[in-house]
Amino acid sequence: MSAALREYAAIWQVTMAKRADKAIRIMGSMGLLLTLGAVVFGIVQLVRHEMHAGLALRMLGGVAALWLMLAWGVMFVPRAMMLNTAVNARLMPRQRRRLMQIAAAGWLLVTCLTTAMSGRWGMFPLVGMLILGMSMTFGGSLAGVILIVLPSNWPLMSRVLLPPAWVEIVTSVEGVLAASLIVVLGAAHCLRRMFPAGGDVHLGRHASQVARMQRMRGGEGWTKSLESGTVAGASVLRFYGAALRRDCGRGPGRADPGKMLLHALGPSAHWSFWAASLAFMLVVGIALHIVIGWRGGASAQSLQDFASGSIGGVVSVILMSTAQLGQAMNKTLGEQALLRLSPLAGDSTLLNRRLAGRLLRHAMLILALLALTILAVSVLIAGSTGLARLAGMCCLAGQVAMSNVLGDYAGDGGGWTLKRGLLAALLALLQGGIAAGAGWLTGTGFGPWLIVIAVGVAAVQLRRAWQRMLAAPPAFPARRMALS
Amino acid sequence: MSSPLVSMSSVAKHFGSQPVLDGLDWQIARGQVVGLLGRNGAGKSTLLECMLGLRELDGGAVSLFGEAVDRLTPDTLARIGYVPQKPDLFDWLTPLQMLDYFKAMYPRWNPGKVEGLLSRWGFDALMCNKQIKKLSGGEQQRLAIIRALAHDPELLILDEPVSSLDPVGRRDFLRELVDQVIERGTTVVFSTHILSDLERVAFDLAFLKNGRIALQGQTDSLLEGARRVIAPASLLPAAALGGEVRRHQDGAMTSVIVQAPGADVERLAREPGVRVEAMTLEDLFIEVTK
Repeated sequence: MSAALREYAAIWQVTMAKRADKAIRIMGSMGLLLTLGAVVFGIVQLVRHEMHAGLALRMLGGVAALWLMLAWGVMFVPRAMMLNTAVNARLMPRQRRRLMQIAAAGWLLVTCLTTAMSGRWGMFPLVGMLILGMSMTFGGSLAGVILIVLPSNWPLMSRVLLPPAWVEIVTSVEGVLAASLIVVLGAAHCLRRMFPAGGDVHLGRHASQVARMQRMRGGEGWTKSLESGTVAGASVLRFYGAALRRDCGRGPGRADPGKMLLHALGPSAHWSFWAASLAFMLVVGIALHIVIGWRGGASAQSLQDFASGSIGGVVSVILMSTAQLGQAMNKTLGEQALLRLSPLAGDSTLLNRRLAGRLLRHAMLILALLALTILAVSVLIAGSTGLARLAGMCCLAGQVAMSNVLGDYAGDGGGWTLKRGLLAALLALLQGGIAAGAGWLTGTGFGPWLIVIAVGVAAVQLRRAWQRMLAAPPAFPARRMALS
Repeated sequence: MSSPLVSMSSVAKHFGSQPVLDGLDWQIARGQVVGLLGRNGAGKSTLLECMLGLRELDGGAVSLFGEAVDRLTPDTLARIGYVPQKPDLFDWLTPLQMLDYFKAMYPRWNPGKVEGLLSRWGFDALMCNKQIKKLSGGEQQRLAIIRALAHDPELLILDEPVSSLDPVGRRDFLRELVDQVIERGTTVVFSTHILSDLERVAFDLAFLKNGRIALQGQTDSLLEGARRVIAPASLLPAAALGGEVRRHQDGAMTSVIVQAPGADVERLAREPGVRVEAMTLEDLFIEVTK
C-alpha cells in the first residue's frame, strides 16, 4: 500500500471508527427501515411483473446512494471537520489536503450516484446542493440550511415563483450544464471553507463550530441558538427576562414554587421560547393570503394547493413541541440540584406535584397556541376546507407530544428514545386507522373521530403518567438514578 | 454534648458495579470547619451530594440538623448553602437575574451582603448584566460563592470552590470565608486539592479513601503528630505500630506512616538505621490516599 493510500485509510478509520451518536443511530434506523421497505416492495413488484429489472436495479442503487450519503454527509464530513483543528491544519503534514480530497470525492460520488439513480441528469445541480447542504448543516454551519431549502422547494419555485422563461433557460441543456458548473465551483469553495488552513480565524472559530455541530447532532440546535446570542435569541430572552423579573418580584422567599421550578430548566421551558415561531407562522400565513389574493389565476391556485399541502407538515411542529422539555431536563442537572436545596422546593411529592402541574400547563398552553395558529394559517390560505381533518391531525400530534411530558424524571430523565418513538408512532397509526374506519362507517369523516380518539387517549395516558410521576422519587436532579 | 450537625452512618453508594462510598461513617459538629481530601475519582463530590440528599443512598442514613436528609423541612433547607463543582449554572441568565431568582426562593436573603460581595469581588454594572456563560471560569465561581453565602447559611458545603480562581481570587475568598462565615460559627465542609488553602482555614481534615473516611482529625494535631518511620524491615515488629496508618516496602527499607506516635515509635527512633521524619500536609495527603 502506498504512503498516500495509507494516509487515506488512516483518516477513514479515525473518522468512521467512533460509535455513532444518537441522531445518527436514529437516521440509521430510518435508513434501515427504508431499505427493508424498498427491498420488499421491489421483490413484490418483480414477482408480480409490475416492475422491470432495470428499475429494480435503479431502486437498489438509490438505496445504496442513501447509505453512502449518510456515511459521507452525516458521519465523515462532520468528524473530518473536527479532526481539522487549527493546530492539526498547520502542523499535521498533508492531513488537511487528504481530508479535503476525501470529502470532495465523496460529494462527487454520492451526487453522481443519486442523480444517476433518479434517471434525470438535469437533477445534478439540485442533488449536489442538497447533499452539500446536508453535510454543512451536520457540520454545524447554518448556511447549509439554505442549500437544503432551495433545492427542496424547486417544484414550488419553478411552478409558482419564477417566471416560466427563466425556468425554461435553467432547465435547458446549457442551463443545466452551467448550473452544474456553478454548483461544482460552489462546492469546492464550501469545502475549502469547511476545512480552513489554521490561523487566528480558525483558532477562534473551531471550538464554537464543534459545539454547534454537537448541538445539531443532539437535536437541540434551535434551543441553544436561542440561548446563544442570535438576534432572534436575544429578543426571546428579553421576553423571558421580563417574565422572570415578574415571577421573582414578590420579595424574598415568596415566589410561586411551580414557576420557579420551570425557570430552572431555562428559557426553552418557557412560553416565550415559542413566541418567535408562532409570530413567524402567522406572518407567513398572512403573506401567503395576500399573495394568493393578489395573483389570482392558475399560479395562485398552485400556490394555494402547495401551501395547504405544506400545512400538514407544519403539524410536525406540534409533534416536536415537548421534545425540548426532555432536553432541558437533561441539560440543567446542576440548576435542578440548587433548586432542590432551596426552601421552596418542598418534599418529594410536593416537588413532583408542582413540577407535573407546571409541565402540564406549559405543554398544553404551547399545544393550544400552536394548533390555533396552524388552523388560523390554514383558514388564511385555504378557507375552511379540510379544517376538521387538520384539527384532527393537530390533536393526534398533540397526543403524541403529551405522551412524553410526565413521568419518572429521576429514573429516566424524560425525553424521546427510539423505543418510545416507535411505540408512539404505532399508537398514532392505530388511532388514525380507527378514526378512518369509524369515519367511513358513520359517514362523518375522519377529522372529528380523530379529535375524539386522540383527546381520549391523551387523557388516559396523562392520568397514568401523572400518577407515576407523583409516586416517583423527586424529579430533580433528573436522570440521577439512571446514572447510578 | 450537642448532637452532630451532619451525621452519616454506614452510607453506601455505587455506580453500576463500582462502589464509591462503602459503609462510610462521618459526623460533623456544629461550627466545625472541615476540609475533605481525596484523590481524583475518590468520590468527594458523590459524598457531598449524598450528604445533601441530592443522590439516593444504596445503604445507610444521613441526617442534617437532626432531620433525615430525604425529608428536610423548608426551614432546614434555608439554613444550607452549597457551591457545586460546576460553576457555570444558570448560564442563560445575567448575574443580577440569577441572584434575583434565588432571592425569590430564600426568605433569609441578605441583599446587603450580596451587594458588598459583588462590589468587593469586582462585579461592576457591566459584568452584572452580562450573560453568565460569557463570564470567565473564575468569575462564574465567585458568583456561585456569592449565591451560596447570600442567605447566611449555617451549613456551607463547598465542592472544590476555588479550582478556577487565581491566587488573588482565592485569597479574597478565604478572607471572606474566615471573616464572614467561620467567625459567625457557620459549619463548613469543603473539598479542594489546594492544600495550602486548607492549612489556612480548615481546623479539621478528613481523608476519603476506598469509600470511607480513612483519617480525620484537627489539622494542627494531624500535622504535628504525623510521622514517617523509615526502617529496615527486620527492625520493625510484625504487628502494627501505635497510630499506624499505612506501611509499605521500598526496597530494603520499610516506610510506615503513623499518626500520634506512641512509645514504640520513640523506641524505634533510637535504633541505628531508623529515621523518623515529620510530614507536610502534602506528604500526608499522598501517603494516606495512596
